[in-house]
Amino acid sequence: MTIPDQVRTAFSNVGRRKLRSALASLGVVVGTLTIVVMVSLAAGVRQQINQQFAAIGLDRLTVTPSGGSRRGGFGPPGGFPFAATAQKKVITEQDVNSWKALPGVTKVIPEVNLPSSVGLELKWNGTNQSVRMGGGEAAGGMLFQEPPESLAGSLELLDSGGIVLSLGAMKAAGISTNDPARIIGQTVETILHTSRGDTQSFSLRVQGVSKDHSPQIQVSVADRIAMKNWWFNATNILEREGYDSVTLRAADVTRANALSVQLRHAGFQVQSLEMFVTVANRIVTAITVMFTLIGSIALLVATIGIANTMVMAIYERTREIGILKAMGASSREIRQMFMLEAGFIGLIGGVFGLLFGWLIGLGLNQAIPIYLRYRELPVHGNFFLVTLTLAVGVIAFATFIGLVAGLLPAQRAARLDPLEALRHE
Amino acid sequence: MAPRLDAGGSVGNPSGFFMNDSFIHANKLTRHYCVGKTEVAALTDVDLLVQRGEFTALVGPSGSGKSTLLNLIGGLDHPSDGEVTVDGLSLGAATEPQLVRYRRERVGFIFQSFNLIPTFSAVENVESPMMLAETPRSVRRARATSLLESVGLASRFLHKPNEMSGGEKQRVAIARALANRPLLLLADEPTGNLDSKTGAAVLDLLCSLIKAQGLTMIMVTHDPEVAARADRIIHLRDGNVQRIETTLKTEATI
Repeated sequence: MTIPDQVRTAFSNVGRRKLRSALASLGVVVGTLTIVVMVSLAAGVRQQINQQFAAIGLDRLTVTPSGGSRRGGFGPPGGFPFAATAQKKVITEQDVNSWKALPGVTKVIPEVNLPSSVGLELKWNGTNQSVRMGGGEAAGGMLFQEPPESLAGSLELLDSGGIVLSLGAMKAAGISTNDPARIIGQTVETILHTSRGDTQSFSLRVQGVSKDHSPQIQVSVADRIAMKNWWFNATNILEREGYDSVTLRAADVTRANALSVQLRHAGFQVQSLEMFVTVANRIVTAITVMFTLIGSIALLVATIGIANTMVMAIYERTREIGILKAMGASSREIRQMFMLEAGFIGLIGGVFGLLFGWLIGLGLNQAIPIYLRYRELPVHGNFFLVTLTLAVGVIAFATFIGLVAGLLPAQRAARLDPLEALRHE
Repeated sequence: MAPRLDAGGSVGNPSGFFMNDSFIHANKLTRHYCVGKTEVAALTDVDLLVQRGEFTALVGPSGSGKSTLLNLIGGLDHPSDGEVTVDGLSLGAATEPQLVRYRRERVGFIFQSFNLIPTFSAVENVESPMMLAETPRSVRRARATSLLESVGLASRFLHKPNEMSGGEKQRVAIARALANRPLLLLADEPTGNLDSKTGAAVLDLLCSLIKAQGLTMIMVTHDPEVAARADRIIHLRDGNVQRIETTLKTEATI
């Protein structure tokens, strides 16, 4: 029997028992559907993560002093910075300047964080209103957040000093928000106070207004150094402690990786988004494998259904097997015929599982953005992504499952004695 | 038409072409079955010579071993002892692939209960042996069509077995048996499930087909009228050849 004839015969044999074949393939449908939904979700999430990170820029490095406070923190609670100086590899102004001169470095943004216990108020028209110090680079993006939008002026703080107000901060301080541009260039008083009641006022020129509704301000590094000096009653806090962190932007990802190695070698702590992406992808991969295993277990259970159907089919068609053998069908041909039938049941289940799983993903891709808009989460794009590899892989696996399920029943059919099979009623 | 006793076997049969090299040659052919722990002798030390183109009838009561002999000649069963050779192939010594090829290319089976594949149409049933023989699709459809025409079923190509009468089913089975141009037809009570009129028509068809194509046929039958159409009648009893009868036919000239 030629291969096309075997395929055609197996297909028509599956087709003549439509309901039974459909029921047998139901397990495969469920298993395949599970795998498709889970893996396409993982693929979608992976894509989301990569897109979010890429939006911020994989060419970014964050350098922090080694052995000291961690990046992005506001210092250890009640931390006494001088004690740590000895062990710390601090980031000095000279370091920052030398990094600016490095080839392939496009931007160097040093950061100084104020201790978390600093009280901060914005003074306007004689009333003081508590505000929050916005962390980090005002114009930079944050993970799963929209980049801040400027209402007026520039959000890029100058080295010489300045302040960026959020819309929320303006409202809190009672500054008219009708025309945000009017505040640009004016001076506002920012008041720091300790828990003991000492206060100090800093006059800062407003450089820009961001469209952020939470009451927060962003202050230039130079002003923050001045604030920190006052807080610790020092004059050389930068020389002693250095910068809390420095964000470097490289010309490209390769250069960023090279820089990260170079700076780490120099004794600094370096974190790159590339590392975050790698870790995040590793987690997603682990979850994908787990979900795939769950689906695979469903598929393994499905083999029992297929095997049962094949045993029934072979019992019913014992006489037919005898006829075929009398007409000169070899045992191998009988075995292949039944294995192909089982494989077809698996294939059909795989195709429908893929189809249903894909449709579920499509539906959820439509439904999730509605929820995200409701929660005002700035995430766009699809969460379910059926890749070609997934589609082909899952169908191939379902077919393989069918073939495995058909193995033993087909072997039994092939071994039937033609005379006994012909006597079978 | 008076049957004549011929104790000397088939040597000297007027229709034989190969006097020294018979088409079918059984030598002390024995088949024992084990039913539980007891051994049942279905066939014991049967010697048989059949010439090419000969029509032989196997008759005898139930359990006389006629079907066993037919199945041994058809390569569906293995002898316990002795040997049967068909067209130079020793079936007892043949490997399984050789037997598969033998059944596919040299033998056509016709059964009492027709044994058509119920889900196949008439033309598909006739095509099925050719499919096993890997005949190209276009060739086998054409041959199946002409075979069905030759058995008088030109209008029933696409009918399923359950849409046909017994006579029609047996005609399809005959067409199927001839599909791969076999040398040997083995028929196990082909008219047993048919009424006498239909049975006679089917028998007429079979006889004219084997005569036209020079085929050898061995037929198991209970019916003396059917057996009388054969060139020779072999009477079996308790697994032994009881006697061999050569019928005298007025038209039996080549």
